Amino acid sequence: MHIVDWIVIVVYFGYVIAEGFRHGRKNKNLDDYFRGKRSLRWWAVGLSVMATQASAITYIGTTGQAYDAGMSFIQVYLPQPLVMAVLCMTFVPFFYRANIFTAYEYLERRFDSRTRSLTSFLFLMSRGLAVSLVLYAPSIILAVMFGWSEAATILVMGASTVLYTAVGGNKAVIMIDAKQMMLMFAGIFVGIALFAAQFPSGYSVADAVRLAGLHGKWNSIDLSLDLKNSYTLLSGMLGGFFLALSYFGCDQSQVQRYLTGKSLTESRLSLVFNAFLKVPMQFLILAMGVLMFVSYHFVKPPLNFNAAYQDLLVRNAGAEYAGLEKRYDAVFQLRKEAALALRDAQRANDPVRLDAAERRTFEVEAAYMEVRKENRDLLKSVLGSEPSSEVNYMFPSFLIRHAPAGILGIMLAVIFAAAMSTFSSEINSLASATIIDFYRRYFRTTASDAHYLWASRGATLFWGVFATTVACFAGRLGSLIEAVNKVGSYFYGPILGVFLLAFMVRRCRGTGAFWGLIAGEVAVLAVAYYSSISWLYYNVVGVAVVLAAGTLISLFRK
Amino acid sequence: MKPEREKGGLPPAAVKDEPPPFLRTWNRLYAAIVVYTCALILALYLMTITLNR
Repeated sequence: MHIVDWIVIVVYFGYVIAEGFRHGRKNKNLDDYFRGKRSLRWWAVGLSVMATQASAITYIGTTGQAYDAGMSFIQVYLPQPLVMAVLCMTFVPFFYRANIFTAYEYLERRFDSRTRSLTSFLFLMSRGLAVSLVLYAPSIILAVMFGWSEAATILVMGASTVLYTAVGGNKAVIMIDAKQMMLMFAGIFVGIALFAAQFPSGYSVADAVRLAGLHGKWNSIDLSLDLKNSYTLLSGMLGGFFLALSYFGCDQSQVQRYLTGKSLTESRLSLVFNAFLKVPMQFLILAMGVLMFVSYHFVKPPLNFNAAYQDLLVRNAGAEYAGLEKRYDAVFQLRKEAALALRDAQRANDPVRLDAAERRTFEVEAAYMEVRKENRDLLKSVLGSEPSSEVNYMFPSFLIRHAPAGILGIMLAVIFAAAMSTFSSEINSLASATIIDFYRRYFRTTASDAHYLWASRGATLFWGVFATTVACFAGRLGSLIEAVNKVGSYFYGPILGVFLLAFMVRRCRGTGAFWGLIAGEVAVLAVAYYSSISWLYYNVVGVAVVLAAGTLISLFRK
Repeated sequence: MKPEREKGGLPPAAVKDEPPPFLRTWNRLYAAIVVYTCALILALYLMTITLNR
């Protein structure tokens, strides 16, 4: 890394920590600390909502996913505009008028304390597990960049975020999130420019689009009705709808954002802002992955994106690996020539020449993938087990090799910003649920503002330390972005079901809600264990069972 | 100090339901979001069948 990159990173860290302390001076009570005294404008809340969802996993994992499997993941995000509209009509006015600190506080007024406590506990469990993954993802690139252990990089990231979050509170988190989101937007365009810069002279974006299309990367919409497939329009609109509704409507990390709105209108507008911008933003991030796929036709990708695997093969199977590298060099050259020949054939508008060029592209691609497969098999024999997916290493590997001085620093700051904006919102929300739903509710029901303020800072510190520790053991989880959403899907459906019972089934009382929630959770776990349907449908199962069981129990129990 | 849960919500008058700054009513804005979503899906579908092999 160049000195300029380090300066960029130091300036970034200095700024966020200073901002945390600046806002922290004004915190006097729980309303300041967790709701920013309800003084935030729609644009800051809207950017914070977006930044909380878009973690480093979004940048690293989604880009790698698109490189590997194309644009199909966009379907998971398609229902989000509709979800924002539903929230503006229902959850937002309910929560705003209820004058609550946590979404689960509302459940006690509507049902009873055990329903509130169980729901809040499920949130703490699901979010508490997922937040460590948010920290683990950027540690991958940092460990590669600096040669540190992943644990050390996790500690650096965790400590700095916990510091500005514990001191600054929710208003600091939101205002810093807003700036971090602006940086992330800039990073998308920088990333696209970086990939395009690898194209040879005379190779246009239109040529890149055609090459990607030939390899099936522009597979944005899949109309298949296969329930086992996670990336279809059906699974996206149905499963993704309930996943998003539960996440944005019932997860404290998001509810806490729009509870800080200066007015009901400001809170609604923050979600409308997301309704219009979220899908285009995700499209651009996925498109980065597709462009990375094309650019790797002209600059040679490493045979192993994970540098640790590379070192392992050189040490343990040096001769065999050297032979593989030689063949890989040769097949990469053929692949590059085939891509350029394809471009010439497409521009010549000659069907016979085009057909020959396309067949050649597929032949070379098959040979290229064969070499990559042999590498994978060699790695498996050295490891003695299946190697973990390299999807998450692709984008960081590209940055290390091809980003110029200064730009690398900016892209690293973008990845930091993505991770820290999510991490800060989540530990702040875990602290609020801990203090409001448990500590103040059961253990210390009366105390001074100063006491609760310090307890809140302590809770933030606890969750930050917990998440940082768990992140050190995150290990192999395949595609990280899938892992995060999978963990959520075990809990989101039942939690959403309870809130829908609260809003829609007037007859339902505490007993129905409580046992309905348990029935929903059992059903989700059963479906996950015994069936092979996509994890996106777990949310639908959870919601349906909670609604049915809660309503039935309430019918029979007056 | 009583826990917050016993105080209840804000009185209706304290939370003004103002119209949005554009399209004049919230229902129109929600309808615009629905139309926008359909347009996105259509555009992505056209991209899939046109660009993809």
